[in-house]
Amino acid sequence: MEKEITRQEKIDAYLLNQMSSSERDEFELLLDSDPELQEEIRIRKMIVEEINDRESYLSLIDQNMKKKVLTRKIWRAISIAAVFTGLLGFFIIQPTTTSNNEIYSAFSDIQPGEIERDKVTDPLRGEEYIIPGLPMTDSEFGIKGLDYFEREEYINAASSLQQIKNIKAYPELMLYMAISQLKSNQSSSALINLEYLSSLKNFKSAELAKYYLSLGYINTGKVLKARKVLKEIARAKGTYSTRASEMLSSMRWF
Amino acid sequence: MDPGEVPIKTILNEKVIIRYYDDLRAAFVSYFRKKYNIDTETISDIYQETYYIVFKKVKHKQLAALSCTLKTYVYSIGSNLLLNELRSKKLLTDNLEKSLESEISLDKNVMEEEEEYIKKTSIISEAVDKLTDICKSIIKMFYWEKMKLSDILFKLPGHQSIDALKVQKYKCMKKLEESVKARFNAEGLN
Repeated sequence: MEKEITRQEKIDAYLLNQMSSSERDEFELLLDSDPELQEEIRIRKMIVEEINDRESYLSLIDQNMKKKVLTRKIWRAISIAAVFTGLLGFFIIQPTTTSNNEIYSAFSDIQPGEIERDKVTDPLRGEEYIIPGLPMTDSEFGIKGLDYFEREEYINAASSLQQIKNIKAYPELMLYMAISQLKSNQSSSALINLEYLSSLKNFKSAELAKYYLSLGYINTGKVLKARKVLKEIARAKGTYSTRASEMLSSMRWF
Repeated sequence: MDPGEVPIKTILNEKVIIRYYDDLRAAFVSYFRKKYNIDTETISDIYQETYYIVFKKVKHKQLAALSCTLKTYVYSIGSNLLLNELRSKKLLTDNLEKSLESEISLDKNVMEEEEEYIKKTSIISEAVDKLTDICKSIIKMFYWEKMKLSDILFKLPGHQSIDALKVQKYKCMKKLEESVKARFNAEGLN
């Protein structure tokens, strides 16, 4: 079954355009001489297209409906305001003008806590650092990921840290991974990981995870969700509550 | 211009076609409900499916050669879907069949192609619907949301490792593909 799964992974990588040009060339050579593979790809392509079309259709209809509802609500709010206060302009021109991008850039400078590293001497490889508690291979990925993070090479950092087998067991490292994903535009992965980390009980950096989660929401235009998380941080009076309040007062309303 | 009167070949992408969804819906539902005495729920479902076919065709640039209006296309596809729906529920009388067929203003050859396309679409869609919830979630996250398996693992409790998830995804896709192939063969489609 392992061989078959590998074959399926190649088919997916081919259909989802995730192959390098040399891999693609090699795969297409194989495809030319394998009618069974051609048939498999033809059927899977139809299925994947159908899944994507159906979801895309539903999501566009949903967006269209929400846009209409939102437009109605905004106009209702504007009308009420115009009648009662005469401050129509107040609702059209929002009281703050800081864009989501500006907020994200201004507030995404906080570094996560240091990860403990031990220096060890290997008879073959000489002196090197390891992360205590991690298996050797994972520790190497961890050290490499943290080095990339320090050098602000976030794509490489995320990619190294993602290779740690059970990263869920090391939430501090996972936070580095999620922040790296956020800073390298892998927003959907970053949000999933930050949502998970924010929900962890007894995780000492949960507040920072929430803080970055709000930045992730801002970065992806989910302003209402960002405001909700920021309010929670501000109310908790923890390390980042002042920053959360500052962000709240700088943000646009919708 | 009335949205229904827009020439279909001028609708260039799926975002534009979605803008007309609501405008045509009310007229379509009201027309078929009154004329054929069909309940609103059924006709709303037919409209939803009809518009999905139009959406797909626009998305994949398959309507550029047609010279009809959006309304003509929607009503023709809708009538065809309604015919099939009534036929499958054994509610189709001869008069109803004739009358619905007269609503189809598309060229016969075009309509035959559309019918095959609709059949294939609905076979795949039904096969996806018949999967277990867990399979549907994995497939949706992997192919639509383009999530990595490592991220899917966080979203789905019950899978202990990426390898277990890979096996599960493989089984789901195998089942789906086998079911689609069997139905295609049974219906003489390729």
